[in-house]
Amino acid sequence: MLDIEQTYIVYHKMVFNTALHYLQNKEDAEEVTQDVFVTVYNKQAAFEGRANLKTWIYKICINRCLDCIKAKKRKKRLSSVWTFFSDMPLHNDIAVEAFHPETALVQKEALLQLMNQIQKLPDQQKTALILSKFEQLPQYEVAEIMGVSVKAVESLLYRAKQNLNKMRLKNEGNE
Amino acid sequence: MKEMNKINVLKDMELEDQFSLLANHEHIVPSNNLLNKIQAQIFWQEQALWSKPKTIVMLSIVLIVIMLNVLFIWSAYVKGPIDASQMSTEFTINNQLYK
Repeated sequence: MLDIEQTYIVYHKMVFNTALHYLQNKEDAEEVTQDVFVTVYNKQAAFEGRANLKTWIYKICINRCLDCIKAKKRKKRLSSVWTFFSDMPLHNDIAVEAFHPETALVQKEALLQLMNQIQKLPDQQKTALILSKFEQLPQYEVAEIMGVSVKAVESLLYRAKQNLNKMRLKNEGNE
Repeated sequence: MKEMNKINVLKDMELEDQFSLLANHEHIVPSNNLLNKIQAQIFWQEQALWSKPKTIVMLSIVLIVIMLNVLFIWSAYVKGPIDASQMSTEFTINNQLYK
């Protein structure tokens, strides 16, 4: 039987910060964190120590984050339709919120822009980038969490960086 | 070509710098009451009526009784009211048969 309090103490920062990197919003990240630990408790029988607990929790966290992003996109689409038929204003809670304290640094704007651009990357590239660069996990662990090969992670990271550079060039061109 | 490569390398370096800046921040912690919320959710989930086998059996029995009642009322409705004259004729025929 998994001690949820102990598991929370060990992994809550990891889960919360990963969710924060994905969602860029404290409330959403907390909601996902809560959901992740409840799922961990409910599905502990299915886990049975077959994989590393950390890897398993990461997997749940990533799936929940991607679900949350999808739900937000759906909500955004619905509210767009709603505003088309009525004069009600669009809800702005989908907008990327700059929560990270490091945004208070001199490079605040550049980092904000980078975080916005990361949100625009395809899910797989975003996941590889967040786990590898922000969570600083070794590539074999990222591969294990994502269920792909190390080579695939390398390629995802390469493409993610390429896409980010392209977005930057486009932005600089617009300015 | 060389110029382009140089620009790409510089861009990559800039990107890596920003990544490490974002990665090397102090971990942010969630609200203090998040653990309480999780424990409360798990507690209520376990207390939930539908998660207990006894409740499932009871609810099934109630549902079956309700369905039987509905079936009985429906069949009575389909047959319609019993004709009184028909009843009396049947009664007389039966009586005569027994005599």
